[in-house]
Amino acid sequence: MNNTNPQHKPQALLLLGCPEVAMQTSLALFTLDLLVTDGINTLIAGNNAALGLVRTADPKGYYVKDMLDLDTAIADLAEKRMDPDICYVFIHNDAGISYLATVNALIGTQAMGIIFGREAKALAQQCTGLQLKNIWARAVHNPGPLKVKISKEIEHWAALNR
Amino acid sequence: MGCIEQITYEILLSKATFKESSAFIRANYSEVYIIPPGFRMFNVFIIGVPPIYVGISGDSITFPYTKPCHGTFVMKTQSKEEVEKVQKTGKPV
Repeated sequence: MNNTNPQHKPQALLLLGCPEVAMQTSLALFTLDLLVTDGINTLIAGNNAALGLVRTADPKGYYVKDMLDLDTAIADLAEKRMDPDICYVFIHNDAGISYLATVNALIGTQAMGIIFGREAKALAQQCTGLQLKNIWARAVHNPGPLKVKISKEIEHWAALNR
Repeated sequence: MGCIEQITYEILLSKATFKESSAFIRANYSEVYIIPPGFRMFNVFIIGVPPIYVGISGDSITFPYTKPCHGTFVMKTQSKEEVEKVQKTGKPV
């Protein structure tokens, strides 16, 4: 859904999953850079460990401006204190699918899963079966294939929301 | 915000997939309701893939609780207030 108000400044939410797979922090900062470059206000939510890794990777806050505790983000979405134009959910396990399904049900627009790790294909099939939008690559050490997909996705979304 | 540790609970199933937790609740309770994602129960907002099942037995309520790194737990606790809320607002199965 596009917001037709010309004063509306698009907002994005990046929802981080378990930080166990190192790829997540790199992908999150890569995604954040693309969004910020496009002038999108972007908030990152995650648990303490996930946010700690992001903070460590960007200690001076060149990219990361706003961070939010994961439970607080879900509460804000559920109680309509926040309604981003797009939410990207980083997924490498079953719990990530639950978060994507939840966010997808709570926001007025759409949520998109960014799926990586060794189980990426199976997780992506589950998401697709649940009609949850996603992009995926079996990325564990090499983020290249997923970077390409993320770039295309954000380019497409930003073009629709300018 | 949202700390499950503020309530007294029993864990019936741990580190499961969400699908497994749903099957567990469906199989073990005769009184089951569907709640929407983000439903507020106690001080937490329930995460899950719809349909999200909640089981009720007397004043006890059994529900899925998902953590990003540990999967989904099925938790049981006592709360007449939450039982009544689910019975009133949930969709009976």
